[in-house]
Amino acid sequence: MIEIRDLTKIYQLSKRQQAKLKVSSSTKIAVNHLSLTAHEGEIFGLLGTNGAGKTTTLRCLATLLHPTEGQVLIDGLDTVKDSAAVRSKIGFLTNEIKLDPQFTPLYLMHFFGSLHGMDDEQISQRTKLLFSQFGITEFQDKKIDELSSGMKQKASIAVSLIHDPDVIIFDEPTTGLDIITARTVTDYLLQMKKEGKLVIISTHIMSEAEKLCDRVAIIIDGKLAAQGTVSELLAQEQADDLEDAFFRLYLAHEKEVQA
Amino acid sequence: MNNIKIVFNKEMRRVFRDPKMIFSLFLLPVIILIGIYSLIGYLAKAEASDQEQHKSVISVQNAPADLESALSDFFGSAQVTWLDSQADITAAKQQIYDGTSDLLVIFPENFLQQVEDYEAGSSIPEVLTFYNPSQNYSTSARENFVAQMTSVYEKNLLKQRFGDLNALTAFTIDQNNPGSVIQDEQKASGKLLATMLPYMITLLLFAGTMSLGTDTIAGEKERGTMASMLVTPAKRSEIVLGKLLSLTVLSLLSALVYLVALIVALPQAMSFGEEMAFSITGSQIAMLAAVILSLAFLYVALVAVVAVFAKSVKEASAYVTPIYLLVIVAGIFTMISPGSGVKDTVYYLIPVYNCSVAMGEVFTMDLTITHFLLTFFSTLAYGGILTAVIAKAFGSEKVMFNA
Repeated sequence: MIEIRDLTKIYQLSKRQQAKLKVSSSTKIAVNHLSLTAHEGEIFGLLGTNGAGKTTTLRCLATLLHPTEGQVLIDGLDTVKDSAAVRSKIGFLTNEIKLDPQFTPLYLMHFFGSLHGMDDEQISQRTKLLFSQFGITEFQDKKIDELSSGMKQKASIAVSLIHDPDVIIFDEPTTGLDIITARTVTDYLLQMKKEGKLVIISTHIMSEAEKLCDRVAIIIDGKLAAQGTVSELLAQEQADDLEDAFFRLYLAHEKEVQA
Repeated sequence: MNNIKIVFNKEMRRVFRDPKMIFSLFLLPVIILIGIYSLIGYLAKAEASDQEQHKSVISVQNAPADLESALSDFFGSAQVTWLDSQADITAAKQQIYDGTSDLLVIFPENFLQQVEDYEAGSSIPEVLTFYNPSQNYSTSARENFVAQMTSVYEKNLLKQRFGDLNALTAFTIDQNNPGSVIQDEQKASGKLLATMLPYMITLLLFAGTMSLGTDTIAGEKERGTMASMLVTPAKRSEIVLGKLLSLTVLSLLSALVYLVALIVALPQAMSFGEEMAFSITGSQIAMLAAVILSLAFLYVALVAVVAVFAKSVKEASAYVTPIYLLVIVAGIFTMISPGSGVKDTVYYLIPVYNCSVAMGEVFTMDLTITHFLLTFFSTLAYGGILTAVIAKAFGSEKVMFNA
């Protein structure tokens, strides 16, 4: 279970960053008093525009960032106090984390498996399974550097799942993938859900969220704008599809800000 | 502990599985070094043989009658123009200025007469030479001429004046005393090594660390591969130690390769180390190795501390350069004062400097056990403090993710 309790993340901006963002304040509130809960056996989607705070929220879940206020618990473990224990439970995938270009997918599976405390036997079995699932076997001995971006993404996904984590945190997992590869990934996420795992993803592709997610949270400007199942949200906003619902919420938010 | 080993192995694999890395880290420097020194040696030899073969161009005005026969060796191998007292010497001077002539010598008119007529208190005839010190040929022609004049020609004249030259010699110093130099040959050779080696070791170690260290830390940050390790349950300190230890080993290896190359290449460049009565004992090797090891670790930690706070490899390289200059300065200090007596204990606590001093003193056999231990453990301690800082930085979101 993931419990996000009143999470706030404020970045300190340097002078240069202020100039770049054209703001005069020396802080930026990336996530603003966000609370939500996600459970085992469901796919939970964080929806929002670029810069809405999705990635920051997921990084807080992955222990890479510390909440400025509030708390994040994963299976009851605090991401700040029990960060090592949290990291052994989660599989985290994000665009900013890259695989070392000089190594092969096969070696990287062994390297990260070892860091997760697995023995060679466990690593080999798990690697075999994931590689056949994602079709990595044929290029498992090529350097990451020589792979196409789709192959790289597949390898990254396999590496993030080497230790068979209970909680899967994927930041925009299908971005940059072709239709077939994207389908492989979403199919795998559905399979994970069936196995009783908790999957939380961020996306700005509304159709993907509609098909994939059991429940979604719409985040606008770091704040939770709405949450619930897709049909709940459609009914609430009297919209035909999720994209419509999102726009209504977005416009309402804009009005609120201007008022 | 296990995680340190896993990270260590990965870092080593990164280097040793990559032919390009092996070539640029270990082979290229050696090739360049040996190439440069061979070239220096070749040029020096060519210069020397050129000097020998060169026929000096000399003009002599008012030469005494017996000069040419007395200095037949010297003038025989030169192209000499004999000038009389009427000759114009401006042209001869211009040729020296231009480098087409090497030496102009002017004797006073009636030189021999003046020598012969000498009485106590009368003036001494003066021989004038004109040469061009920025021309090697000119310098050596003048040196040879002056040496010949004083050692052969002047002695001939004095013999004519006094008959017995020994009357002019009140005493000699060390003319028949081959045992005059009393020193420990080992220590003397050690002093040469004490001057050169610590400086080179300290420099080479740092040079090797610089490129590797900035890449494995700042480079991984920049490429986004560092974060992949940070989302595993491995402790930050384990990741840091694994990286630092592998860097230490790699920089030691690279320094070793350099050193071997230097020892092979140097004699070709200079007549260095030809007759060195130097032998090194087991305990000396052990102390030297320990000091070098601790120093390599400190350097690695120093570079890593800079690299971890830098946002890119470029930035890291820029920050490391001033530290490199400091290391060079610390090395120069030890070259100035090797083996100049026992130093205060407190000197063995100054980072980097203490290692250079200790390495020098291993060769001159001046290093005491206390000073050795102080150097070794203080260096490790400084490295340890830096390691703790780096581990702390690895946990900082500001440093690692620029957040």
